[in-house]
Amino acid sequence: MDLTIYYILLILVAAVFAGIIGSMAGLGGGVLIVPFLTLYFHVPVSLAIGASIISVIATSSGSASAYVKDKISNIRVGTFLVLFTTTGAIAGAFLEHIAPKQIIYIVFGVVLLISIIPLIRKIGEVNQSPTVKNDPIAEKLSLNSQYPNYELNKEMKYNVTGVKSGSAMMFVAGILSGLLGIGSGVFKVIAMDTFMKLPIKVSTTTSNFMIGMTAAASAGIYFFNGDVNPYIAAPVAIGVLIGAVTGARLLVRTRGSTIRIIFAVIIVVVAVEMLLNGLGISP
Amino acid sequence: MSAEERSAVIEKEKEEEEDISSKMLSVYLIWSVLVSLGVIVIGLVLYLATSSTGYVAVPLDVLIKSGGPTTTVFPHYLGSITGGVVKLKSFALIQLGVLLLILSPIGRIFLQILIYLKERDRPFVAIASVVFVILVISLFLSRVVLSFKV
Repeated sequence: MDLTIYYILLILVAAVFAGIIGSMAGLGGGVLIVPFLTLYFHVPVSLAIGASIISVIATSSGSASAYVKDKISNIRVGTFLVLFTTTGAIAGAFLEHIAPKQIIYIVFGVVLLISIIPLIRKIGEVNQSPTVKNDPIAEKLSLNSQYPNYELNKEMKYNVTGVKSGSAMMFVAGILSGLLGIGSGVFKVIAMDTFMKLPIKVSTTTSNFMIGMTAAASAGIYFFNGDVNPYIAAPVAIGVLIGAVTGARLLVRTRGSTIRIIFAVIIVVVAVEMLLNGLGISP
Repeated sequence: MSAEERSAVIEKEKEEEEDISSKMLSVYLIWSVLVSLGVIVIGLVLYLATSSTGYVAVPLDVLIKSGGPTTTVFPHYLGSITGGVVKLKSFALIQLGVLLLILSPIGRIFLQILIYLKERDRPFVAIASVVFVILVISLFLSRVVLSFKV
């Protein structure tokens, strides 16, 4: 019993950390939870993935409760793009045999590494460049909005462009989550930052708003299949929720460039994880 | 009133309406988090207080040390969860909280449909409805996938 309490506490602490990072970088924390549980605790992979899905939804709901109130995440953009991630996820579930998973892991690991370049180039950017104009779809659906800019200490308006390429990227992100069972927060943030030119905080927080909905569908599979073990799910859910709410408070008072750097570091971690998986080095 | 003033008034009304909507959404988000968190915490505290999961589950340290075996000796169906909750079994409570957490994004998109209906925002009523239908279909699909697996 004592050992059990010790394990539960350890998972709880790790989950708080994953929740903080996930809510600030726009992802579900699965990238941190899965290796922690499998490498450190030697939990069976299926149980770790079940825990990771819980972590994604907890990060999304926990942080979105703050981001929607503070009006940082763009709900219209998020809801519109969820259309493509969810259809992509269903397509991905059917495409399981299209290519060996190893190749998919390697391809997207490399894609991730390349996508760091445009992200890092924009370090130091305080606000969206005034040359960005709404594209026709954004205009029609009035996707443009405003958000509280911490550096300038006021509400800043921003436009939304590249809706088509962003949506296409979301569809690919959805296919990946259906195919590999991974959350695709990183690809969502990249799509919004690089293709749709949204301010970085709007991108990460909108991604947080979205990932819960993308994950909810596949969460059902794992839950009813019995892959969500209460021993692990309870501390993960509690810890991540606490972490996500804390991270959301921190994000409001963090410079955009800092978020960018945190996100870039996470991308490297995810890319390395994917490459290792692809090369079959993963335990 | 000039055309410009009128459009300014419309703009302001639209903003106020959006304020109310995002407030409703954030209230829903906060409460869905608090309720599922509360149920999970009650379940965990009950487990720690009674040292009983309410089920014949493989202990966590055994599970971790052996690197397996996957145990499904805890409730993971609606019927078995409600049955366990009624008997105040700690793991049934945890699973209920987790299930509420999983279902909360689907409730969120449903609330969004209602909000967009109220705002008479037709394109977004359509978008949110399609997302809702997709999520429900994929929940159903998960059962189909499951029946193939078992």
